[in-house]
Amino acid sequence: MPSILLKDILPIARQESYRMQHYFIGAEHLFIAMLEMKGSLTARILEENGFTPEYVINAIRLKIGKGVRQQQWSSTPNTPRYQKIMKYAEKIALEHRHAEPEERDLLLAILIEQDSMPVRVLKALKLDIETLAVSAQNHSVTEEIIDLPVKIVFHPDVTDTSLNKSFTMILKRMFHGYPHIRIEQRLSGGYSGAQLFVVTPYQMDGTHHAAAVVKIGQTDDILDEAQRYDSHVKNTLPPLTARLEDKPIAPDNSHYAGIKYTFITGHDETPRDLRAVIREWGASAIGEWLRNELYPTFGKIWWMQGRAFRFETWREYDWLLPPLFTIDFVEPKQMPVDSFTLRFPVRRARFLTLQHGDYLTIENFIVHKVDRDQNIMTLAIGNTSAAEKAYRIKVRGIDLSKNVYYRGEVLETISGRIWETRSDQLIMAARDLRPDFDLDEDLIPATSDKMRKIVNPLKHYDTLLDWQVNGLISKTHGDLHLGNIMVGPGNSPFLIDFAHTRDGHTIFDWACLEISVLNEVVMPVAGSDWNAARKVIEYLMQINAGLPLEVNNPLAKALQAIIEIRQIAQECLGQKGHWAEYYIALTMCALRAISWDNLALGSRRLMFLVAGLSSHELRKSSNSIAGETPSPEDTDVNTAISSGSGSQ
Amino acid sequence: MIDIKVGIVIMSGVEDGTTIKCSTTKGDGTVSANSWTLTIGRAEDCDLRLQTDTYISRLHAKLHYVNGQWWLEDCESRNGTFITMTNDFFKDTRVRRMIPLELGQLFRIGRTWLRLE
Repeated sequence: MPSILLKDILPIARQESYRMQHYFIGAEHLFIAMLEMKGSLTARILEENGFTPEYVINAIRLKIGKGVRQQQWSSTPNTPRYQKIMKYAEKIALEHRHAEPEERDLLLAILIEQDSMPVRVLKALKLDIETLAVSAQNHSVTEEIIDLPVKIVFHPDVTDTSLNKSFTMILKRMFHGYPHIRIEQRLSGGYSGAQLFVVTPYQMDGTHHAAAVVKIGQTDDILDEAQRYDSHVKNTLPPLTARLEDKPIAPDNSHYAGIKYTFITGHDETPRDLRAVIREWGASAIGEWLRNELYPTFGKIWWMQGRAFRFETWREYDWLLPPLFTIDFVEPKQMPVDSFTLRFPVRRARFLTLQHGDYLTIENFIVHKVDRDQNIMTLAIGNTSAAEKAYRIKVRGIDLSKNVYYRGEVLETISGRIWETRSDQLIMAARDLRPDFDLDEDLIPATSDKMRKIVNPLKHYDTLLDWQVNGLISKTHGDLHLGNIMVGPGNSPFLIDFAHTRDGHTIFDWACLEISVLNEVVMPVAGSDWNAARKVIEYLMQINAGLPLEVNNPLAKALQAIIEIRQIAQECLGQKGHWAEYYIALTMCALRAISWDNLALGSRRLMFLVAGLSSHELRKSSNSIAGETPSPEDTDVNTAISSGSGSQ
Repeated sequence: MIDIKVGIVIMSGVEDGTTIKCSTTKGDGTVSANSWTLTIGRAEDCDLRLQTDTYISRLHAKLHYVNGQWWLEDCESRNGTFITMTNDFFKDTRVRRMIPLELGQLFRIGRTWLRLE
C-alpha cells in the first residue's frame, strides 16, 4: 500500500470534526482520521496491539465528547496543539527526506508530543507510547497479512467442525508460529452468543503445548472483556487458574475478535468443561464438586467476601429482561407535541399503557451499543454496571452512516415511535412455547393434574422490579453456567469467561447456575412437553419447602445438583433462611431464558414455570405478611418472606 | 503567601494546547494568609476565561491552593465540573463541592478538559 500523505488525512479529519460538532481541527481529529483509513499504518499498529480502530475511535470520542450544534467560527481553525504537532511532523518528514509529511511522520509527531487526548486514551488502554513510537518508526507499510500457515484440525469427538472465515483467521493469528492446532472441544458461550474452543497447539516435532480456551465474539465485547480482566479480575483470582496472558486478536476487517485463556496448572492435562464431565460423574457428584471444590476455591476471594447490600430489584436485574421499548427513529420536528417523555429516574408505571405506534421522547440516556450493519442503537441509563445497563431502549432506523453515535455518549434527546414494548416481547416468547393454558390468566397450572396453580410470571415480574432487596454484594462471575466452569488436573476447579465479572448481588451467580443445571442436566431427563416441565416443578416445590426427594427416581437424582447449589446459595444469603432474594434472582434469570433460541423447547417451558414458581414463592410470602400489594416497607424481601427454603 | 506559580493547560476544544500561566506575584487570583484562589468561567473577571464553551457558567469553578495542595470547587455550575479518577480514565466523576486535585490530573469544566502543571 502506498504511503498516505497529510493532504489525504486532512479532509477526513475535517469530516470527523464536523460529525462531532467541533468545527475546529485538533490532534484527536487527525488521529481518528488516520485510524479511519483502511489499512493505514496507525490502524495496523493498534491492531497488532489487540485493538480495532473502531474501539480506539470510540474511546477517544467518549472522552472528548461532542460539541454544540451551532458553529462558532466562519472558518475551521486549528488548535494550538495541532500547530505544535504539525511542526514536529514537518521536522520528522525532513529527517525522513519526505517532501511533505506522511502518515508515519504525523503519527510519530502525535506520539512524541505525548500530551494530547488521543495519546492519553492510548495510555488508559494500557498501551506503551514508546513501544508504539518504535513500531511506527520501523513498521513496513507494504507488509500484507498473508494467509498464515497454521493447520486447524478437530478432535474426533467434535461433531461440529464448521468454522467461518473470521474464526479461522483469528485462530490462525492467535497460534501463529505453530504448524497446527487441534480443537479439542467446542463450548457454547452464555447469553452473549460468543463461542469458546479448547485448543491444543502442536509443534513441528509433534509435541504439544498446554491447551488453552479461546473465546471468539463480537469485537467490542471481547475488547471490553480484556479491559475488564485487567482492571477487575486479574488480581482477584486464585494462583492456579485460567488467565488472559496475551493481547486480544482483533482483525480490522472483521466484526469478531478473540482472546485466549491460558491455564496455569503445572500439569499437562486438558481441562474439560462441566458439561463434558456430567455424563461421567452424574448430577449428584457434580453438585458435591461445586460445593466442595469450586465454591471454596473462588469463594474465598469472591462470594464469601459479601458485604450488606440493599437495592431495588431493577438495579441488578432489569438488564436481564428484553428492552423496555424498541422504537423507530423519528426526527424531532415530526414528533407530535403530546408525546411521552422518558427520562431517569424511570417511572415505569407511567409507561405501562404505551403500545405499538405511540410516540416517545427519550432524554439523557446513554448509548450502550451501536450496530452499524443493522442501523440499530441500544440506549440504557448507563453503560458499565448492571444498574447502568437497566432500562435498555432499542432505536431502529437511524442513518448511522451520517450521524456519529459512540458508546458512552449521553444523548440529550432522541425520539421515535414505539415498535414493540417489553411486555410484547415477553408475550411473544411465551406464545412460542405453545402453552396449554391461557396466558392472560393470573394463575397457571403447575402440576400435571393441573390442580395446583402458580403465578403467571408475565403478570408479576414488573411489580418485582420495584421490590427492595436486602442481600450481599461481592465479586461475582456474572455468567456462571456449566460451560464456564472447567475441571482441571486432580479435579481442580477453573473458571473462564470473565466478560461480566463485577461487584454485584452475590446470589446471582448461583441462580444463574441453577438455571443452567435445570436446562442441561435436569430437563433432558424429564422430557420436553409441558407435563415433563411440571414434573420438575413439583420436585422444585419440594426443594423450596425443604422436603427430601425420592432417592431412586432418575429425575430426582438429576435434581441432586440443584440441592447442592441451594446449599451454596444458603451461605450467600443476606440473612440466613430468607430466600426471597434468591427467588427474585431466579425469576429474572428464568424469564431471560424463555427467549433463548439455543435452548430446547422443553427447557424454555421449564424456564417459564420456574419464573412462575419463584414469583409464586415471593407472592405467597408477601401475602402472608402484607397482603397482595406490599407497601414500600413491606416489599423489603427480608421482612416479606415467612417460611420455606431451598436448604435441605 | 510566598510566590506560587501554576499553569492551567487547556486539553480539549479549539484552544487545546494553550497554557495560561498564573502566579501570586503577578496578582492573579485572590491571595489570603494561607490560600490562593483562581476562578474559572465565562465572566470577564475570571482568572481563566473560557468563552468558546457554551456549557461553561459565568462563574463555573474555583481552584484553591491551601498548604501545598490544590482543591477544585464547583460553584454550582449549570453543567457541572468533573474529574478523571486514576482508576478509571473513562468515567468522569462529578465534583459535588470540593475535591483535592493533583498536578496533571484531568478535570472538565462544561465540555472543556483542563489540567494543572
